[in-house]
Amino acid sequence: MNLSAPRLIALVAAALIGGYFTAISSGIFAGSLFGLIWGTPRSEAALTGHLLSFISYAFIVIWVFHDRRPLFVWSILSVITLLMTTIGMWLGGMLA
Amino acid sequence: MSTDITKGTPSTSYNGGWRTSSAWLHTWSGLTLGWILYFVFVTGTVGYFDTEIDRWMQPELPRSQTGTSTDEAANAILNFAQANAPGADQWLMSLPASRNQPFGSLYWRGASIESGAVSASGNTLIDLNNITALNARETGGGQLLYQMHWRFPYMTRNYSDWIISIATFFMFVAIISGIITHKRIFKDFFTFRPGKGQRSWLDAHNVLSVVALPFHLMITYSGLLFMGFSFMPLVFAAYYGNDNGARGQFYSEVFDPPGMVAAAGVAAPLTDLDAVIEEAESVWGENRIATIDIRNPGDSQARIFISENFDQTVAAGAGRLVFDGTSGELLHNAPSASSPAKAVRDVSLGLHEGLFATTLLRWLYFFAGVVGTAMVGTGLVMWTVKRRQQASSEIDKKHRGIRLVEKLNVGTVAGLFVALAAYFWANRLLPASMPGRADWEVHTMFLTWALMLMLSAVIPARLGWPLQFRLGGFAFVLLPVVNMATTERGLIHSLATGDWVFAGFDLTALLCGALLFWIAQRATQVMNKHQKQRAPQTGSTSPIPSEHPVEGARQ
Repeated sequence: MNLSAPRLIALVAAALIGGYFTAISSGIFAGSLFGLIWGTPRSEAALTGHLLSFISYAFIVIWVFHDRRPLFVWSILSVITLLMTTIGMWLGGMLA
Repeated sequence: MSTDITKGTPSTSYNGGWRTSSAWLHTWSGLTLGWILYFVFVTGTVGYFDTEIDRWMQPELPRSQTGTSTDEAANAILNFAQANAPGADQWLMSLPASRNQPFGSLYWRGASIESGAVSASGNTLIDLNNITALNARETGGGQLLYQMHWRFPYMTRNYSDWIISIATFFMFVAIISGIITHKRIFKDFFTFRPGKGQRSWLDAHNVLSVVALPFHLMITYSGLLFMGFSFMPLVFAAYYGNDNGARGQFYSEVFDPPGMVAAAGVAAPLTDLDAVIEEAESVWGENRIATIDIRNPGDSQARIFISENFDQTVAAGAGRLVFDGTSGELLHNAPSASSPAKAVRDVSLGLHEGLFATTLLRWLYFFAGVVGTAMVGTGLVMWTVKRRQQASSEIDKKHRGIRLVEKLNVGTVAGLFVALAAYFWANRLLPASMPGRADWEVHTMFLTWALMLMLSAVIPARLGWPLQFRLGGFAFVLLPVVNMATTERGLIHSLATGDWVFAGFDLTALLCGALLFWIAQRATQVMNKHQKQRAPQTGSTSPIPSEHPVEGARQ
């Protein structure tokens, strides 16, 4: 498991910081989606997203250290975060 | 299994398996903040007996007054409030309804000193028999000990929140990656090979982890939820915006009882509390009221919020009834679980706190916490055992890191118990009238911990392990003696009179002390065995790695 120091730092940052924002975006996305499907108010959507975000965070970290290609994981996390935040907030705007 | 991150031998190249990568992640997410997690587990476990410890730490207080009827208790506290806190904005009356609240108490704010209030705001226990404040020595008690596990002392709330959130998240990652690593988790569970060095540590760590796995998962995930609003505020910001007002909007939509109103400034007498209690009991049943929160008492817009005792439900949120404070009319009935997501959150938090747990279940919680503590402790020790074995064949290059972990391990895994006992000793030995004595109880605890870390820094770990466990053993075994010498409520007295809170504390202290002595004994045996193995230095190397958890390669 040879990881050079720069690569290790890039991965730790991807997991902890990149993963943090991806986890939040997944919470926003999932909260809005469930909110629309079940017709809940926004407080409920926010709370649902909140409950799920910690679980995504943990699995994102595990995935980052499984893949171990800093450039690749950073790109994937950025794209997913951008997509889920945009769609999630757009869907969230339709909630009561 | 895992290898060092920056320096691996050619044979340990990463093969791409999920179990391999998870094992690596498990090791490092567990170790990095492991000592913080250990502190959180120890203080959190003790916290399951927070109220009992409170009472032991204030021996001047009478026995619990939980038998008092709701009417009698409510009226006694109301009388106290009218006499000592007139003109207040809020009287929050807690009734002695269960183990969690052994005495009646009043919290008030905004009281008028001109009208005879003793202070503008305050919080006091009330003796229901003669409607006076109960006075006892100043102490943080079990509440502070329990609070330390989610809010560190000597630190602002902000820093402490972030450190604990991240440590809890690392724990969560460590648990999930640990599960992935152990494909044959149940087979491993039934495998325990004592006396086999690193294997034994691994087996012990596995057994401790698997036996209470549901507890570990529950306690860690719900721990994250407790910290969640400060740890992941942006999920809410997406719906509510990011300024303070928007956040308040979210909190009030989810948590506030309905029907909060501002004071009108027009005086009007408070309604008869007995009638309000009767109506609440017709909804929930008798003796189910935990708190009566009176807002703007004496104003025409007074409101009475009554909360249900949640000792009969797992969920942390209580049902609430809202009454008009002048007419006594029932305005709102807010059940605890107002939505599925809030129900999930309430149940998670409720399971974490275990406030609903009766005696037997409370002990199970305590033991699950002890197992969690031991899981973190064995995990920390295992890290050094493994590396000692690898390092013994190499040159003395990485040893600084190993030695640092070792020192922190001895001073924390063993030393924290000495510090914990010191907290209780200080409660008995500091003079009752000493200014700031509650703070000094905490200072004593952390100074002792610092002392143990220093001791660990100067004494070889081989001697440090047994020494510090033995110190902890003495400190706990002698606690009942100190109690007997400094109060009227010693073990003999409490056993004879059936005072189970005091007897329970003293007996548990004895048991903890005995356990620590036993661990010290085991540590000595392991060290001696290793010394003997090393001494001859024969050419025949055993396939079983050396057992010495601490000094494998230091020569």
